[in-house]
Amino acid sequence: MSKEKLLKIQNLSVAFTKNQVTTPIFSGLSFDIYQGETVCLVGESGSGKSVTAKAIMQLLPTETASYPEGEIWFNGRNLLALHEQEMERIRGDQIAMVFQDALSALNPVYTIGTQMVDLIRLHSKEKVSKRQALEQAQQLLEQVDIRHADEVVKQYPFQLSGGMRQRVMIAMALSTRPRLLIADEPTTALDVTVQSNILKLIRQLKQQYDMTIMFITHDLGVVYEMADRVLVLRQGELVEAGTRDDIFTRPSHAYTKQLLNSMPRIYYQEQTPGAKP
Amino acid sequence: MEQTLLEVSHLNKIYKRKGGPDFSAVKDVSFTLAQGETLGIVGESGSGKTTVAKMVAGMLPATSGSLVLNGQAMESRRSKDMKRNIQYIFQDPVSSLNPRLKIKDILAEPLKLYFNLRGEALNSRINELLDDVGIPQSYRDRYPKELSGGQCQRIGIARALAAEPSIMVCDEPTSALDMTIQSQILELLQELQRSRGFSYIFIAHGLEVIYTISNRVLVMKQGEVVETGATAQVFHSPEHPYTQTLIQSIPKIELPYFEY
Repeated sequence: MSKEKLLKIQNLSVAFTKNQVTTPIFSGLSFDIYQGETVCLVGESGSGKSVTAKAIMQLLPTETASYPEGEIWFNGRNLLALHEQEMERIRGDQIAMVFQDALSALNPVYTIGTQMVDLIRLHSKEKVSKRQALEQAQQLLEQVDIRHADEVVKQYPFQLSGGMRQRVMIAMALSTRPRLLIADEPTTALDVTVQSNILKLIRQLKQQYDMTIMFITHDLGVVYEMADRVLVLRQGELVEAGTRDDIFTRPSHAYTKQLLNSMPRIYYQEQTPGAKP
Repeated sequence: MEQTLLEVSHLNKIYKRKGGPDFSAVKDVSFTLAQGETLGIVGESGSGKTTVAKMVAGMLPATSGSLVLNGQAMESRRSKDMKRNIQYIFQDPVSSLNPRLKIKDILAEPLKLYFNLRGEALNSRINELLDDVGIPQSYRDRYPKELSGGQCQRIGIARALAAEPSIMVCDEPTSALDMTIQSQILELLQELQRSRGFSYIFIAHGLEVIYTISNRVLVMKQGEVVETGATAQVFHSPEHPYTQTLIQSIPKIELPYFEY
């Protein structure tokens, strides 16, 4: 793993304003993500995981969200200082995001093919015809192990299963060959067998595309399978950061320990179900 | 674990479809539940877990099959006492409470219905129930929206407790909750089982939760039971290929157990 910093969050504060009342969500958040690593953000609801992801993507509602302090450096540029047009080029092109709920993230009234063609043509450097774009779309779908891609492009999101929709989302995210993939609870709504396939797919594509991944989840089993490094958030505060093995074997913060103790586990050594050994 | 409390045999649920073949949501499911036992039901979405649970609780009529509680067959129209005996805890703790009732009124409903409690007796029983689930008595005048998700689930448990059932059907009671809250709710359910001797039918798609809480496990796939057995046996040496796939899919933390 090269030690080049791809993302640097420095002293970031986010606040929401509603009815002229400003509520700080978090302040002074700092962390780095290095090129090529998978970093997992863990924490409970309200810890600021998703807000952090959306702040990086600049997807927080502009009417209410503000950034009183801090910088988000990506690839040498401060995303908070960019114009919306410049940000639009980075978003999707260089940083892509996969959401938890693929059904509501996809447009219900267009076919999968139409949505993918639009995306490919929008982000492509040179001119691409609709037919070429459709071919590319099918190739991408095949890469995420969707068989009958020629059928799937003609279908609407509601016609696909949850696992298939999540694969479509990943295919769309990959269409621009992003350097950073932000995955916000991508497998939380899925069955375990489907989850295991999707996680395998993400790991394999990461290798293939040399991507950096920021993975948000509350499932510590998933964290153990995916992470090189782990960041533990609690109420907008980074309480602990470390390598996966450090966090799982030598957690230092009391909250991390509480989180690890509260996780239901299957013991492969001790065989006493129903009670803690 | 003593005598059989509930015996379910050849339970079926078939939905008629217009212009197509009928759909069997549950096919020939049989199992027993002993006094004080926790039976976990696992399976993917659409496998029929919740349909079985609802038929057991009498919330959904079975197409065919029999349910015998304490040696007595349960008809499709159940007696009040049979209804009281099987209580249900829902997945969504907030929407399963009436938003327009105060906590005390939510808990008063089963107490009035089943035990005809009124006045001071009702009041003190409500306080007892709140104590049982670890909610301060001062919350009795609040509305569900003023409580957190975990607190709402505690009220849902208190409401089930109020009926003094022998069986509690828990349908994904912790999947809407944060992990630290989940472990508190699971501990509460286990503690209530130890002190009151309930039997649980416990549904969860989180296999780790099922492993933690169940004595026996029923594995369902597309409406059928594919495997059943003691928890340790099913998890450590699954026999059916589907169960094997399921167990292999669980994200593994390959570390020995220790308290952090």
